[in-house]
Formats: sequence, C-alpha cells, structure tokens
Amino acid sequence: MNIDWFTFVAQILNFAVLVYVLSRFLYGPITRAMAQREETIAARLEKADLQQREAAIAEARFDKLSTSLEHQRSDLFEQAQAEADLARKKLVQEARAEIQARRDEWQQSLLREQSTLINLVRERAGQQVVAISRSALSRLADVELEEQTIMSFLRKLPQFSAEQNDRIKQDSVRNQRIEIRTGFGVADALQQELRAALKDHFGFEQVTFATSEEMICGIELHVGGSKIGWSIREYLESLADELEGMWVKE
Amino acid sequence: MGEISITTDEIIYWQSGWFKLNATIVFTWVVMAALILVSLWVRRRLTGTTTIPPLQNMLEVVVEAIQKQVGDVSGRNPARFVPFVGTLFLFVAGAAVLNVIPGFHSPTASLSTTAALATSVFFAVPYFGIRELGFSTYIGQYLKPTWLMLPFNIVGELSRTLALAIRLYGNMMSGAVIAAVLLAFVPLFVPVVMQLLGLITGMIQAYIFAVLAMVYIASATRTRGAVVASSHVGPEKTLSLEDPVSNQPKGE
Repeated sequence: MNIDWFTFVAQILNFAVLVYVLSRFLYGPITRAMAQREETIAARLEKADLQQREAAIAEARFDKLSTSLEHQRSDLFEQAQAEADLARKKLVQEARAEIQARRDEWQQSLLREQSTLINLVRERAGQQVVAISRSALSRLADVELEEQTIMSFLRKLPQFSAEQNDRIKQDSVRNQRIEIRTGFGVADALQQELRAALKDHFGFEQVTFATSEEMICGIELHVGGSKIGWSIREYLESLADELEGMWVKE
Repeated sequence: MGEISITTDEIIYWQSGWFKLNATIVFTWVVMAALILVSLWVRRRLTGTTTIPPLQNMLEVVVEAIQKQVGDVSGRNPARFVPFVGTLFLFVAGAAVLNVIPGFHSPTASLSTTAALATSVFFAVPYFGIRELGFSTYIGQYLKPTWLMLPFNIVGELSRTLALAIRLYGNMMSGAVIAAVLLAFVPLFVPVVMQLLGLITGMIQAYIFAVLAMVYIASATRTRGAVVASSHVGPEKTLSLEDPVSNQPKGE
C-alpha cells in the first residue's frame, strides 16, 4: 500500500488534462446540443400550439360559416317554397278566372241563343196564331180579326174608370200627340169610327194612326206617356216567359 | 502459487531516471484516450436536431444523468460542477468497464491514482468554496461554531480525503486480488463471474466517489446554518444543512 509519488503527481496532471479535454469536447458540446434540441422542440411545440389555436379559430369560423350557410339555405328554401305557393295560388286563381270567364262567355252565348230562339218562337208563334185565328174567324164566323179587334177596343172605352179617363186627359193636355198604333192597316171607315169614339169619350180632335209589325195583332192608344190597348204581343211575352222558365228548369 | 501483484505502479514498462512509465500511467492514458476518442467521435457528428446518432444519444443520457445527480446533491445549478464531478465518474467508470478486457490493469487499483483523485477533490473543495462564497467567508467556515473547532475541521478535511482515497483503492484493489486468487484456485468460469461482479462494483464505486466529491464540494459552497434555495433547473426545493457526510450512500 505504497504511494508512488511520481505516479501520484502524474495522475493529478492526467486527471486535470482529462477534465479540461472532456469539458471542452464532451460536456460543453453535448449540453449545447441538448439545449439546442430543447429549443427546437419548444419552438415546434409553440408552433404546433399556435397552429392548433389557429386551427381552432378556423374551425370555429368554419362552423359559424356553415351554420350561417345552413340558415341561408333554409331561408332560401322557405322563400322559394313561399314563392312557389304564391305562384301556384296565382296560377290556380288565373285558371279559375279563365274557367269562370269561359263559363260566363258560354252562358252568355247560351242566353243569346236562348233569347234568339225564344224570339223566333214567339214571332213565329204569334204569326201562326194570328194566321190561324184570322183564318178560323173568317171561315167559321165570317168575321175579320182586325175589325173585331177595333170593335172590341171601342166597346171597352166606356168601361174605363174615371181615374183612367182623367189621367189620359191630363196627359193629352201636356202632350197634344195622340196616336192609335195597330199591328195591321186600319181601313178608313174604321179610322173614322175610332176618331169619332175618341172625340166623344176624351174630346180628342187630332188622332194619328201608325202601324207596328211588332204588335202582330192588336190596338193601342198612346197619349203622352200613357198607353191603353191590347195586343197579341203581351200574350206572346207570357209564352216567352213560359218558355224561358222551361229552359231554366231543364 | 505465484506472487500476487496488488499495485500496477510496480509494473514498469519504461524508465529513464526518475521518469518512468508504469502500468498505472499507461492504462490511465488508455482510459483517457478511450474517453477522448469517444467524445471527439460524437462531437464530430454532433447534432442539435431531433434525430441523433445512437452514441450521442448514449452520451446525452450519461451527461444528463450526471447533471441531474449533481443538481440533486448540490441543490444549485450543476453546470460549473459537472466537468469535475462528471470526469471523476467517467474516469473511474471507464476504468472499471475496460477492466473486463483481458490484460487490462485498472489504474484505480493503484493507491497513487486514488490518492491523486482524492487530492484533486481535496483541492477542488476550497476552489469551488472560495469561488462560490468568497475567500473570507469560506475560511470563516473553519472557525465555526467557534475557533476551537479549527483543528477538528482541518483534521476532518484531511481524514475525509484519506478515506476517499482508501475507499476507492480498497474496493478496486480487492476486486483484482479476489479475481487473482480465484483464478489460481478455479481457473474456469468463476473468474468470469468475478469480472462481472468487479464491473458492478466498479460502477458503484464510480458513482459513490463522484457523489461524495459532490457532497464535499456542496458542503463547502454553502454557509453553515443557512438555508439555501435550489437554483438549478427544475422544481425549487429547500435543503437543510445537515452534515453532508451523513448523507453518504450506504453500502460502500
């Protein structure tokens, strides 16, 4: 257990050299490399953290945008649906209006045809009735229809009420035009007879005569706005009303 | 049974006057060369990126472990202590590892080497103490709690240096002696087991030697009775200043 002092000193020197060399070539570089790596990793972690925060922000923004787009899509869909409903209602209304217009037009056309037909029937019926009546009276009773019509008018004049007579007289004072309107031509003798009767009954001096084919058969006294008389037209009007009633019922 | 050589100082390869190259010095150079070559090799390919060579990785683990141990023991920034304490550990550990090579004579089995290392620690303690506390404060430590303690403190310094040298020498030398004795009795297999045991013992001794050196230095860099807050990297901790020697690891 001896100490060799040369070796002792040499070992101290060797150890000092080793401390210096390792300090320079081992601890320093290794420590710096580790510090550098730590800095690199810290920087990466910081960068990753930053990117994670940015990603979170981007995700939140995307979610917000997505929600907004979803709302927009929903609004647009609702708006389109409302517009489609409106358009459908408008089209249905237009279609109904068109159908109604066509139906009205068709009904108007039908009514026109009906009116035309009724008028035709009335006219033809009136003509036929008059012709048959005239023929039947002439052959069976040897009397003229027109003459009997005027006679009947003359017979009914005295039967007018006092009120009717006063009104006709007042009208005649306001309007001097006094007219006998017939559906046929009146012979001169009958005209004289009518003038005389009207003069006796109402005191009319001037009486004019007119013929109206629309009346077909009949006689009317027009004084101003008043009218007294009978014609087959009134019967035909009843016939026309009857026919219209039948038409509507069918 | 031949004579067992218990010290490598007596194996002399070359001598000229008072200068001689014995096995202790030569194998010390071998250990130094191995450590320096590995360091240079790693340094040449050193990288601060996250992809590192395996050898650099291993050295980083070793250096980091040394830093952590020094930091834990000193309770302060380990940077200024690591070169000295780390080299102590690496030298002793390197010698123990290389000892498994047949024909290699561990320089730590020489009392001259262990005494040199202990003497280095002996001088390192006041060096770091003065550097940390200042000359007057450090010298004042020897007069506390009273000037009457001055002789005891000086004897304590010397005795622990002696104990440090003898402890390492005894452990390393005993391993070599036991291996030699067993080799004489049982030449096969058992010496291999003893080599393994020697390796483990060597590593433990390297750890103990380095930690004790650090404990001595740490005790010298603190003022007596004070509480020093940790300044090294990591969680802050408070150390009570008990006698550092009482914190020695067991099983030396």
